[in-house]
Amino acid sequence: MFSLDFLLKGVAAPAGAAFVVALLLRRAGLGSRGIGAVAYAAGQALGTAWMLSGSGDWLPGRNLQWVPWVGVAAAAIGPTVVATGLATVERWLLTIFAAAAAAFVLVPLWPDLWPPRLTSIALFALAATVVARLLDGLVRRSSPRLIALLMAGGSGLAAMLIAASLSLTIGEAALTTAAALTGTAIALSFRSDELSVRGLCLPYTLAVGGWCYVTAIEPPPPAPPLVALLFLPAAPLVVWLTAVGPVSRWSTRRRLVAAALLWLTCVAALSAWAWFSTEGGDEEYARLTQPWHTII
Amino acid sequence: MPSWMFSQAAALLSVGVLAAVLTAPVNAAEPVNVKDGKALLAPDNTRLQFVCAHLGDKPDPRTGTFAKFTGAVEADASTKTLKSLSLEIDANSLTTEIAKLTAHLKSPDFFDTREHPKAGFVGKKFMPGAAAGEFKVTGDLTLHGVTKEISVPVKAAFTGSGLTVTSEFAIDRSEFGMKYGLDKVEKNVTITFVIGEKNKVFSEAGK
Repeated sequence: MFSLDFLLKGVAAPAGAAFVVALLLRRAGLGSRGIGAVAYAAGQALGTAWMLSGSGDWLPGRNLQWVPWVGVAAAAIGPTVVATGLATVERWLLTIFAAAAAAFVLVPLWPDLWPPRLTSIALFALAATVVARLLDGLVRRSSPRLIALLMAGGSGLAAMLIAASLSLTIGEAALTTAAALTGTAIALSFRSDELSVRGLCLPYTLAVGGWCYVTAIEPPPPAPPLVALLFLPAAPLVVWLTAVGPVSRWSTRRRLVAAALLWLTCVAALSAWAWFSTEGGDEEYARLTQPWHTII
Repeated sequence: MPSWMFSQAAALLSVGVLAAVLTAPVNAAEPVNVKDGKALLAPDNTRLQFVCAHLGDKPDPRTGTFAKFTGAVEADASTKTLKSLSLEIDANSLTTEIAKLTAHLKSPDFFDTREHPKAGFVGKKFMPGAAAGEFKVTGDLTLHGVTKEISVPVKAAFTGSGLTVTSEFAIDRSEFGMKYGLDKVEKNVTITFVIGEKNKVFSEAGK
């Protein structure tokens, strides 16, 4: 499926770079709100450099080529959104600005785009803003370590689904994002640091949401869009169910287990939806999908 | 990417370097009416398909077609020569037997039809071949946003009721920027073009 070269340069290198940068920034004693975002940006930049060095053209041009650049740009804004002293409305406005700018480059100019471009821009910006802000709130009410790991896990799953359901080219690129997020999440999990993870929420939302969006709309009509992918970046929000209400009064350990189980159930359901929505359903398809068929 | 998908896609797209062979029987085609030296081409009178196979022990070749294209051929029946040939293809109309394979072939891994919705061919030179009715046609083939000059063998038959043209040749897909899975799927894709046969088109759901 993935070549060894890709796994080394496109996955291991970005993950390792993000991990090392996060540790170095923490050791340097710089403000913690930028640690997660900067570490992710370093890993994403390395992954994008690998993509640029390959056969694929990943300079910003068509919508999907913008995603890694959107992720890096969002990493510059993410820590600002969670700066102390900002009013809630200012945090929302900054997030809306970032999400709208991302939507402007991620929503294509295709004449058959549905909903139409302006509507799509508004919907993407609104959805990304709500997800990013709710994630930020969740980090403050739940375990930052857990949320960071769930964001990383969700991004990896999204990349695999993209590769399996539509395109290995896009899936590989999305996996570089997942690798950078994973390296960052592992480094951040060594010490619980709410601000570092909060600063990561916006880049996570725009990068992973970006990959899922560009893939979901990629199949030309009459093929339906891959709607299930659109919900995947929001999967960590199910942890809210353990942060409020009766479950929030459980012991920390029980809450974390419940949160992890909720997330697993959610992503399993979304993955099944994404996978089965792309099936052909004919005999030929069934034969080809049998597990003993040629393995790439 | 599941292996079956990879394989199927591979099977579909290959190509090679212009090593071409004329195989399709001209007499199987129904001559297309030529009016004022020109015949219009469309799926109801022209077959356009491509076949690609996997590398290894199980080639499992797959066939793809395009449901929408337009074109024209100009010919001089008195001298039995071809004068022009052009084809404009809607790449988004690509179909195969398997719906998921169709979606994969349209994706950025192969044709990237969102970015490159048009493909086509414009003939520039029509040189007579070794035998009567045989030609070597040189022209610009555009695929995946890349235009390259190719030369292909063409067999044309002029009858009282019209014209039939048959050509089968291979192209190297990697020369057109389609470099997905070159270690698993043939890079050579065989293209068959027959004026005078109805195109076979698979439904969106496959078959």
